[in-house]
This record gives sequence, structure tokens and C-alpha cells, in this order.
Amino acid sequence: MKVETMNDEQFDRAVGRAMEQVPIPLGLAERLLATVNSANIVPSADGPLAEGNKLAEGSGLAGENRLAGERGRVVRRRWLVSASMAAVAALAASVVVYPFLAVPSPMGYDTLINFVGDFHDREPAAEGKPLTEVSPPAAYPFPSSVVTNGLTRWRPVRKLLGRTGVAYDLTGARGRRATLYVVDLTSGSRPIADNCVPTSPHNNGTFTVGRTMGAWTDGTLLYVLVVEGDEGVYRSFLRRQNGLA
Amino acid sequence: MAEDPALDMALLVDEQHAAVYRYAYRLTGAVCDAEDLTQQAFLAAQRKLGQLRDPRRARGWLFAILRNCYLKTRRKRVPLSATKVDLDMDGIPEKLPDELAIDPERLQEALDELPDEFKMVILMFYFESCSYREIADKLSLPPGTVMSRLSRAKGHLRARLSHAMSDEASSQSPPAPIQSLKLRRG
Repeated sequence: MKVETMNDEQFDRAVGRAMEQVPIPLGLAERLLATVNSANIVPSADGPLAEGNKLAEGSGLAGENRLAGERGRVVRRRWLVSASMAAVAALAASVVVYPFLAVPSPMGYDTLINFVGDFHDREPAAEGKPLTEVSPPAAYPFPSSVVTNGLTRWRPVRKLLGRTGVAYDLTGARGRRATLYVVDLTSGSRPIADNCVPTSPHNNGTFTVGRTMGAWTDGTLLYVLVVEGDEGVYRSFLRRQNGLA
Repeated sequence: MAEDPALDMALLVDEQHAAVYRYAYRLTGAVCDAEDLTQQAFLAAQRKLGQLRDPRRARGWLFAILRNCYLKTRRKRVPLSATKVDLDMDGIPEKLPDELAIDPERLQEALDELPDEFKMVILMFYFESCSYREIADKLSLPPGTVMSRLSRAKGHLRARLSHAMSDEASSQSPPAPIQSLKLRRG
């Protein structure tokens, strides 16, 4: 039964990763922007070519027999070029203007977990320094609530929730792997909603595809534990104590 | 969302187009169809932008729109009854040869064989990390039905992918016909 459960987890994890492996076509964002911008010009659910046709008809080209198709194509092409330029300009403007206009709203617990999960997936594998040989920065201490088997390594991380911090790579019983991220909540541009993160590790993490995650705070530090496996494996990385919910 | 709808859409496209496209590709199984579906979804999102109260839920909101767009495009086709999927559970191997060896294209082939009712449930599970209950709520289905469909769909993927990987491992012999799943259409 235990083996079957482990196989299910492996399967879910592998399928979840394979699901994400879809190449994104070049220029997709620009084409989408052109489409939605064109829909702004003439509110309609039609695509850009249909809108181009309407422009051609409106200009009287539709009535000319011989040259109508060719001119229509030219108008559509010009329209597409204009729409693309407008889209690029809009995108550039949004990139420049957005940081000054938008005040990021505080993120809740689920969003926080999703952000760290995405970061964990994207983060390139890096060999950390053994915790027993090299001490991590004192600002990001290893918490007493997490169990380590002595093989823990640590490495610096950047741009996690807009903050720098430390990641501890843990190995648990039967080779189970986990990563513990630690960042300082007083820095960073993306605020976290008040009281949405518990002040001690919760006994039940958030199970997604093949992994379980949980977050807690300790003073100004935010800890996020990412465990490969189900909630039972997650709990195996936490020291039993009164503080556990 | 910000007050300027154009700015909102630019941001929405910029931040979410890749995730939406991936989902669309897994639904349709074709690059062109996926891009068309992604475009439809963003156009629909633009029309309904006022409904998005919490920008942090933008991805889930877009995924829901995408699913609806996909189902609309499929409505004209003859649906495959969920009761007509016969799965030989004995034919499903207990183990996968290698958890990292899942070929995304093989996965797509296996997904393409699933009826929409099954495909929708399994994509919501893997792409949206939805629980049984969340899927049941979103699709207005009994949780038992969701569990059954998810189990059978996973079984199908497991069987297909296991056979595919076994075939690749034994490259000397030609691929064996897959007997474990019988999908009867019509």
C-alpha cells in the first residue's frame, strides 16, 4: 500500500511537470496584445482579420471588383502593422509606467504558496554549502522546528518574493527531499497580508501536484517549506512540539 | 486591477499568456488550435474584465474562461459518453519505469484520446491544482463522479505512458498494440 502511494506521487509529479513542458510560440504575447487592442478600437469579439475586413468595407473598397481583394489585403496588412506597433508601444508604455502607478496589493497565504512553488520550479539546481561546515548568514537562521539529518546544505537565493534570503536543501528519512526558504519580511516590494501566515509551522501543509508546502513566520522572517511528497512526508520534516497546530 | 483597462489587459497578457497557452495546448493538442483558443480566451477576458475583482486570482479566472471557450468550440462535435470508456484496470502497471521519463508529446497523445469530460477533470487537477471538491464545484458535478473520472483518466495516462516508455526501452522490437484501454466512440 505504501509503495503504491509513493508511485502515485511520483506519477503525479512527473505528469505535472510534463504538462508544463509546452513551447510557447514566438511572438504570441505581441499577437495577443494586437488582438485585444484591436478589439478596443472596435468593440467586437471578432479577430483582427475580421476587423480589417470591416475597415476595408467601410472605406468603400468592397465595391470595386478587380482591385478590391488586393486593396483589402493591403489595408489589412497596414492595419495589422499599425495594430502591432500600437501593441508594442502599449506594452513598452505599460512596462515603463506600471511600476510608478501600481501599488502591489498584499498577497494572501495561497498566493504566497503559489509564488514560492513557481520560484522553486524555476530555480536552477545549485549545490549549496554543507550546513555543518559553513555557517549560513546569521540573518537567516535554520529554525528549530525543522528536522535535519545532518546532510543539510544552504545557498543564497535572490528575487524570492522580491527579497533575498537563504534556501536550505534538506534530505529526510528514506531520501525524501525538501527545501526550506527563508526571507526577511521587512525588505522586498511585494507585501504579504497581515496575519495570513501562521507564526509556527502548521501540521498540515498545502498538497499540490506531488509536493506539500507550508509557510510560517518567526519575527520578521518568513519560512516556506517545500517537500517532495504528501502531508505525511511534510510532517516528517517538522519537529513535534506544542507549537504545531 | 488598475483603473486603465488597456493597461490591465497588457499586464494580463504579459503575465498570463504562457500559462493560458500551455493549458490551451493540452486541451486542444495542436499549436494552431491552442493559439486560437488562447486568443478567444483573452478576448472574452477583455469583455469580462470588470468581473475580475481580485487580480491575484487572474490565472484561475482566465483558466475558467479558457475552459468555457474550449467547450463552446467543441459543442458542435458529437460528444463521447463518459459511460463508454472501458478501462482494463488489470492492464495498468503498478510502477512507471522512470518518473522523469514522461515525454510531453506522448502525454499529449494520451490526453488527446480522452473524452472531454475526462480531459477537463485531469487538466484541472494537474494545471489548476484543484482538489476533487473544487473540481466538483466548478463543474457542478458530484464529487464521486469527479473522483471516478480522475481515477480512470489517470489510469489511462499511466497505461499509455507506461506502454510508451516500455516500447522505447525495448527498441529492438516494434511497439506492441495497447490493449488496456478501449475507447468506443459513437
